[in-house]
Amino acid sequence: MSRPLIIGFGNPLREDDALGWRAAELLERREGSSIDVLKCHQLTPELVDLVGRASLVIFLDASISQEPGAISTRLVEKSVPAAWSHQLSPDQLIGFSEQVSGPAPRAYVITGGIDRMTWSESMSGAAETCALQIAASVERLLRGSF
Amino acid sequence: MAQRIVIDPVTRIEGHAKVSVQIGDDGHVTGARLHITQLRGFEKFCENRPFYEMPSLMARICGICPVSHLIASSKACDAILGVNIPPNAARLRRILNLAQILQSHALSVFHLSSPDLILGLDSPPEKRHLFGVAEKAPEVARDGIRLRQIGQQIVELLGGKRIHPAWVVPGGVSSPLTAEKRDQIQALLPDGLAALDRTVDRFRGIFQRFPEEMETFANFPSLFLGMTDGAGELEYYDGPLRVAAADGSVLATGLRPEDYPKYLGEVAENDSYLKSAYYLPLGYPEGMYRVGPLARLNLVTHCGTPRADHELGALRTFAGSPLLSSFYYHHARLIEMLHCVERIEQLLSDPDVLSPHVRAFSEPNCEEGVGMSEAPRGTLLHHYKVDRNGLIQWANLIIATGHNNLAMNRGIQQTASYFIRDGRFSEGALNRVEAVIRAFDPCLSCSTHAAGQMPLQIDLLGPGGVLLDSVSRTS
Repeated sequence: MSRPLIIGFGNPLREDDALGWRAAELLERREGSSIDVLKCHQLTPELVDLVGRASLVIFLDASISQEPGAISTRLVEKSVPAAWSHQLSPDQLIGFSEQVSGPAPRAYVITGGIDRMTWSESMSGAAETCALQIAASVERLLRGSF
Repeated sequence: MAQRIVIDPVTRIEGHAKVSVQIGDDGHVTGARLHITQLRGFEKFCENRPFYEMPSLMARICGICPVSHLIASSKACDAILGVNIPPNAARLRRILNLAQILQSHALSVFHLSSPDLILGLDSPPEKRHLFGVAEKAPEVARDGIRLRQIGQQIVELLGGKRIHPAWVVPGGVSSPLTAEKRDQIQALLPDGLAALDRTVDRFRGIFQRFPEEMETFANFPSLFLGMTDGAGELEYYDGPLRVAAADGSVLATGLRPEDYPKYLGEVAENDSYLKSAYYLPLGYPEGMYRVGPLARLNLVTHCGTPRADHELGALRTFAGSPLLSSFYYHHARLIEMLHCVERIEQLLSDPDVLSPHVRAFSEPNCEEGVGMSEAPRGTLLHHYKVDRNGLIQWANLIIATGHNNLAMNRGIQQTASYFIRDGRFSEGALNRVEAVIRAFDPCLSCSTHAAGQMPLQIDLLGPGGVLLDSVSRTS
C-alpha cells in the first residue's frame, strides 16, 4: 500500500542547510509508522521509483531567498528538465517521474528561510525552531487540515 | 586554411576536459588531443596523515567510484599492516566492489551514453540527455535508473551509505553482514537480472545501427591489461595482472601488483593534467594499452557466470576476439553488469557470508604497501610509503583513466579524421569525437591528482590559429 513520502534534502555539513534533514528526522520519530522518510543531499533521477510509488510527496528544503524563519508551502508544478544535471528540482523530479513511471502523486514543497551556511554539523537555534514548525506544517498537510 | 576546433567542455563524462582538433591547409585532420583541465592534489595532501585514514580520504577522490578507492586503498593498508584479511572480509569487499561496478556501469550506459545510442549521434543536442531518452523510450530510462539504484542500494546496505561508505577498513571490513541485510540484497537481484535481460536484448540490436562508429571509435591494435584469477576467469578484487597483445597472445601473466614499477611507466604530457601510462617493456608510446571492461573481456576465456558467458559468446561470434574497437566498451559493460549481479548472487549463497570474522588487527609491520583492484573503468593502483609511526610519507595512484590516456588520444584522432573531412564538420561529427571518449567512460576527478609536479604549457592563439605566445613550466 502506498504511503506519503517525506524527502528532506540539503547538506548537513553546512549548518542551517540541514533544515530539511532535521525536519524529516523529527517527522520520522513522530510519524514513522505511517510515512516513509528519506534524507538526501540532492534530488537525483534514482528517486523516481520511490516517488512514483508514494501516495503523496512532500519535499523539505532550506531557502536563502526567504526571510530567515519564514516558511513557504507550495504545490509542485511538474516540469521536464531541459538539460542533464547532477541534480533535479522537486518540480523536475515529479515531472521526470511521470515521464518514466506514469502519473505522479500530488506533491508539495515546504521551504524554510535560512541565512547561515558555514561549515558546521550543528544548526542555529532559529533553524531548529524553523524545523519544528516545518514538521508541524507537514503534519497538518498529512491530516488534510492545512 | 589551417584551423583549430576546440570542444570545450567535453560533455557527459565525469570531470572536466576539452578536445582540440587541428586541421591542416588541405582540410584534413592533422592532430587531435584530449586535454584534462582539472587538477586535484590527493597524493600530496595526504602526506603525514596516519595510514589508517587513507581509505576514507582516498574515497573522497570520487563520488561515482568511491568504493574502488576504498578497496585499493584498504588493500595497500593491509600490506602495510602485513596481514592476510579473513576470507569473509574479502568476500564482502568483493560484493561491495561488484555492486559499485553495477551502478557505475549503469550510469555510463544509461545516463551518459544512451542519449547517443537511443536518440542518435546526430540528434538535436538540446534533447541528447537522459530526459530525452525518457521521452522517447521510457522503458530504457526506467531500467537504467533501476539498475543504478540496485547497485547503490547494495552499497548502502553493506556500507551504510551510497557514497563514501566507511565500512572497508585496513584489515577487512568494520562489521559483518547480517542475515536481514543479506536477504534484502538477495531480494533485489531478480529485479536486476530481469532489467538486464531486457537491456541486453534491446541494446544488442541498437549497437548494430552504428557500423561506422564500430569501425572508427578507437579501433586499432593495442595491448590490453587487467586482473585475472590466474585461470582465465573474470576477477575484480584480487589476482595477478595479465598483458595481452592485439592478436590475443599473452605477453605477460602473473604480474604482481607490488612489482608495477617494473612493468608500468608514466609520462606527463605538456597539455594535460592527466599522465599517460604505458607498458614499460615496449616503451613510450609503443606500450599503449587499454584497461576496463573491453580489456577485461579480451583477457579472459570466460566470465564464470552463465548469463554473462552466454552474452560474451554472442558478442565474440558477432565481432570476433579480441575486440579492438572501443565502441564495444558499451556492450562489454552490459556483460559485466550481468556478471556482477550473478556473482553477487553466488557470493551471497555461501553460508560463510555471515561469518563474524571480518577484520584482522595489527600495528604496521611494513613501511610500504601496494593495493590493486579492478574499478569500473579499469585497473586501479594505490601505493603508499609510511614512516615508523605509520604516517604517510609518499603516495602514488595510477587510475584507470590514466592507463587509457594514450588510447583515448589516439582514438579521438582516428574518429576526428574520419568524421571531419575537407575542413567541414557537423555538430554530429564533433559529438562523435566526444562519444569516443565517453566509450572509455573516463573519470577525470579520479585520475588527475598529483600536485606540484605537472608540466604546464599555455598557448595563446590568434585568429586563424597563429601561435602568438607560449608560456611553459616544466615542473
